Amino acid sequence: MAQAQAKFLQKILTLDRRWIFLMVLVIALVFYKITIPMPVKVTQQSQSFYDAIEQLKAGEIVHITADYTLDVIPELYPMNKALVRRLLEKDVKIIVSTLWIEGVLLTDRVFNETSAELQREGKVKTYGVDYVNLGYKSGNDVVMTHLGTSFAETYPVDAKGTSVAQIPLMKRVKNFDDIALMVNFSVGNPGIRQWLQQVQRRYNVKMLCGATGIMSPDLYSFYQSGQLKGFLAGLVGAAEYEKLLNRPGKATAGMTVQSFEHLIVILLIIVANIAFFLQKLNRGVK
Amino acid sequence: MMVDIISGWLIVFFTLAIMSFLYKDNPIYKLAEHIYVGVSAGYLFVLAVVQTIKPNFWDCVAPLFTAAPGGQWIRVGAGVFGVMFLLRLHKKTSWVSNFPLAVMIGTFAALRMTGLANSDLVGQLHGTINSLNYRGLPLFEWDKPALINNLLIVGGVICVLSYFFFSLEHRGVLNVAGKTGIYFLMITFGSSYGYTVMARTAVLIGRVADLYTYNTSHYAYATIICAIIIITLIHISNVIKKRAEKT
Repeated sequence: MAQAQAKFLQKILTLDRRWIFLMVLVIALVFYKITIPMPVKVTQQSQSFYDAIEQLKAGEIVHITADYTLDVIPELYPMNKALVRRLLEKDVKIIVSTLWIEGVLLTDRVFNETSAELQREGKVKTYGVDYVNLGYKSGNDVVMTHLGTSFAETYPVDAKGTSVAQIPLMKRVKNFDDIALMVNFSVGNPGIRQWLQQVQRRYNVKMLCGATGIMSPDLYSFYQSGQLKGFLAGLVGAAEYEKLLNRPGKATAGMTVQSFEHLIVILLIIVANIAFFLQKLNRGVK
Repeated sequence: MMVDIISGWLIVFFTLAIMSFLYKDNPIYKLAEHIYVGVSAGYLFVLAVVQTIKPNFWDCVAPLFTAAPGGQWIRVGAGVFGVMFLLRLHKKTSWVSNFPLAVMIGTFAALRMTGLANSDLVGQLHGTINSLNYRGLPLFEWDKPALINNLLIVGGVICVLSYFFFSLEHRGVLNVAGKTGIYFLMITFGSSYGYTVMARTAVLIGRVADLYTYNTSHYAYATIICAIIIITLIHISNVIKKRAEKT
């Protein structure tokens, strides 16, 4: 009996990890189709994010920095799109730049989808007047600080190659003094930490952030100190923002899978720990 | 229409090819990985030319030689620095690249130092200095004075700093504070791990969403067919590998 128990414990502790991968995949495949509505509780940092956006007035300019990549689309794209839509609805003007190459493509996609949606609702938004995609620029911290001097010098042309001197919206912007709010969507370095270091305190810019789950724990201290006025933490942050806007989207739909995946991870941790300690106990008894 | 369908097939094929690594390293995964690296490098190069070199260098320097307005001599300096960097590729002239490298290191070090001091040191210190009955902490705002939360913040910072204080032997009060600091650190690592699981799950959700999207008649059931193709190819590669090992 004791031998069988020891064998079983050993089997659990040396389980081929591919079974775990398979389990995780099956749960994702099943619960993506069987949606069980999950309660989304709005956290204070998401509420602050929402409030800061709602306080903006029509005509004010928001600088969005889309510093993220294709692999984190499920986390950051829903919040990026929800934000852009809300800003355009409020007639707030948007300037987007990116320090990550894929950000150019993602920004184009956000603008194309959102402007098409708004057009169907009878709200026409024009490129160059309501929003601009300045595109990618290499140089990280140097680009950030140079924006504080001049947007036009840092980005002489937009993502399409049009001179910024010919873009009506860009004529209203010299530097961060003309920006009401900055929102960074961040996946790593360069990202929100560098924007906080180089821009927030130096130019006294009001800053919000949408970050991947991995980055989020680092942001609480910046929120607590007031350097960040609010942030959305990963997919759950995006779902919270969708709830606040009363417009459930892809992030809200992903909450069922997320919850069940978390459940299976918690169960696996508990089972592995019990097996580990039981094995240790058995060896001690011997 | 056709482009849409081909795009769908490519998305599904490369998703499944990369995911096949979870089973084991295989030629299909390798193929997908190499194509990804090649495409990324090509895209990066084109963007660097179109969005950086052309507007920041070529468009500013070319007018100088055509007598058109808008030429900037200072941009020639940037071009010279760029050429000096490229001289690194030649063994005899590689030393020249040290000069632009020195400028870059100096600039970035100074920028980072001032930025870090301003944001991560002064800004965070400012966030830690709280009155114990201050109600305005955004994360922990309670109806009653947030005494416990403020104590946790101040106490946590002191304990963690004590753990990393190596100028005195960890005995007595310093030992207790340092050990308490470990618990604060462990809670932080736990929270990071939780968020990491959440982030990875979110990525998986994105892939699963695409697999379902392209598994419709419109896309000729790309997911099922690609899965069958990839499984078959992996099986064939296994068989070939085993035969090669035997011989």
